Amino acid sequence: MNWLKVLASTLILSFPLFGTHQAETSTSETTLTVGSKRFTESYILAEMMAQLLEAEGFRVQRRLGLGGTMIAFEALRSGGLDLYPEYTGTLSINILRAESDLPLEELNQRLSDYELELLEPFGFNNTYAIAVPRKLAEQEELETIADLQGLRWTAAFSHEFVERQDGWPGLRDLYELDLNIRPTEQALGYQALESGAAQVMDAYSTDASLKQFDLTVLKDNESYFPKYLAGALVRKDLPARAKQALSQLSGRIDENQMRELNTMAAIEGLNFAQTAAYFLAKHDLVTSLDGALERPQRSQVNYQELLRLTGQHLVLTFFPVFLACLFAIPLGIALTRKPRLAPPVITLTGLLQTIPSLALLVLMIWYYDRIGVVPAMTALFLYSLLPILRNTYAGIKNVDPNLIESAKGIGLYNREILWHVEIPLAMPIIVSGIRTATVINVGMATIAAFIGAGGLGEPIVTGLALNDTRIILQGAIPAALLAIVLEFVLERVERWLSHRT
Amino acid sequence: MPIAIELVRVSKKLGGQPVVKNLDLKVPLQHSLCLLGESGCGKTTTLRLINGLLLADEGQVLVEGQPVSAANATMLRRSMGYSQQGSGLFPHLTVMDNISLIARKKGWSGEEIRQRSREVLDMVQLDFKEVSTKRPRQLSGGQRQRVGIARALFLKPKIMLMDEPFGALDPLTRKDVQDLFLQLRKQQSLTTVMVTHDLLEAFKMADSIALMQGGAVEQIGSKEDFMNSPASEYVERFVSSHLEALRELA
Repeated sequence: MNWLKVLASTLILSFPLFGTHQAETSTSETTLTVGSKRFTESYILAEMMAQLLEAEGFRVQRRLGLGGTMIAFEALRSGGLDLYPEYTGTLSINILRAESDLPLEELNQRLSDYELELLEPFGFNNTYAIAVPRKLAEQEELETIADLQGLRWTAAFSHEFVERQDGWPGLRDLYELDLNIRPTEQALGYQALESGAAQVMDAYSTDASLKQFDLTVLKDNESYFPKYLAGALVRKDLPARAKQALSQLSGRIDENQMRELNTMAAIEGLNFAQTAAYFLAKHDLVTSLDGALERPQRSQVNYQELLRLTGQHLVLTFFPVFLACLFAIPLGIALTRKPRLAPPVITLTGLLQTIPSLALLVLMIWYYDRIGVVPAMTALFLYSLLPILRNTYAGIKNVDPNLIESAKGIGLYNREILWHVEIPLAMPIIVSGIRTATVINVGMATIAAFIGAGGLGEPIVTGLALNDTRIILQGAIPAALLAIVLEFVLERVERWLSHRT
Repeated sequence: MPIAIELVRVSKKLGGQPVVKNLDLKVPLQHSLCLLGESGCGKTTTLRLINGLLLADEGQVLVEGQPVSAANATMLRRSMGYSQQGSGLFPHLTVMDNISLIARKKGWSGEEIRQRSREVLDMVQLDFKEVSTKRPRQLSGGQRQRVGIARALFLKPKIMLMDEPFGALDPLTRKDVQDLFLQLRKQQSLTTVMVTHDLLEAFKMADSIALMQGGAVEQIGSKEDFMNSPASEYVERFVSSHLEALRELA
């Protein structure tokens, strides 16, 4: 019975670990947690807000690069975040399920149900934009979307834009357009316009690439596109001093400025903090930021940071596998004693594995009411269960029945048969399950960055937002190496174990 | 002679099918009984009823006067030697760990275990130094079977149960191990119950033979009884088929 005690106490000891994390992230009063979604503009705006709050004397924790609107919004609602930049159109249409964008007053009325508030927007509108090459616009004297009437140009529109009711179909009807539609990946649209294969494309109005590719945005005179005004979405209980500080940004950033900042980060390769600091210093929003006014240099690979992220990644990988072992190995053994329960239980853990990772992360955020390491580890724990459970069950089941017969025949008790015969003989197969779970987790743990849990996913998420392969590889290469090394080591362990039997 | 093992009107069904029917059997102390018969005749089930791996549906199994029950079955098995086809050694344990597993569970000291390991390996004519640290797959089939017998003898049992113990051996090795066991049986005054399907092996190893068919004993007796006065047509056919096979080969 000793091992049962060890098992029980390990489980009990490991769960309070979750508890201490919780205390660390949510109780300290002067610490504010700032989030962002995972695209360049969101990072920059979050950095600006974070730096303003720091200048005001708050301690700021950054949870940048969250995996999507749902994750960021749920995190804010549950108190895992105190604020993040959000858009009026997204709030109205995607979250509050309104037909179109709501005016700020109505929006805030409905947001108060969630104890949230959108502060006065920053000024720019990042909505769908219809863009044409500047030279062509000048040549044809195009200023508004209506000026496209009668032109039989080729349009490289994104698949989503072509399909959405509030995209091309409505636009065509309202402005009576007759374009030749060629559905194209948005990133490739720029190339299509540059090469002359197309003359019109859809974009977002603050895209850095609009500047890079020298495109002109046509005015939407009829206000067809919903407004996506960016602003600070905050919890209502945010300290007044913090709201005051944030309001300095209201109405201060226009589309051109935002486009320039996006260009600095996405194309010139500056980091978000530098980009944000540059803007704040330039507009005298913070004082005493030495040297921030000079355009900062391109960021370099930071090996110390990489080492820290790798460490985090290892914890994210191993701790859930360790917990899954504590849970799934005893369960797998128990199922060999009740084989009728095995198919439903194994199928159930199999179903867990089919839940898409982002969906599982959102579920975990709901469950824990917070973001970060705990929900990420829980999701990874759930993903680790199946390979370990299935292999434990199969390993024990596969033990030669003659050996069990022999063990019984010489007078071993069932408990002794388990410890001295079944587990040792099943060990190579169990370790193989642990190996599978570990290697899967190395990959899965990269998505933990979507919910602010850190690890090697962080550079990957940032690099994706910036469309910067160099940064993506800073996370992807160590993660791949880690997977290969762990696979190799655990394969050796497995072979060593099976060599003994 | 006092009785070592007794089965009284024992019946057993497995999966709804009667496998042993109303069986009576007595094995005197230091006697050697062979349970003989074709596959499915109930001989292995009978052996499993004696060591408590199966419990009788009806009737009673007594070992040294004690009824076998769920409560005492495992303790009982520890007191009896057990050897099976293919030796049943654990592949992940060394020879010494294999033969001393139960002794360790009973709390023997390291020195006692070493001492007894030497003795039993000596009995089965294996060199302690050579084999004790090897794993089963490093041994020959005959060596493995000898280790299996050594394991069965480790706790100095009075009763030895054997399930086709020489089944997996080549003919020459088989003869060696059989001869060795006959010698050990006398030397250790063992009561043995052995299951086999081979008439000649039964003739060689047993004091008396119980030929089983359909879960019941067709005839019980000595080699001479079977040769000279078969109790039924089935017995006669069983015996003559084995002997004819031999004659044809000769």
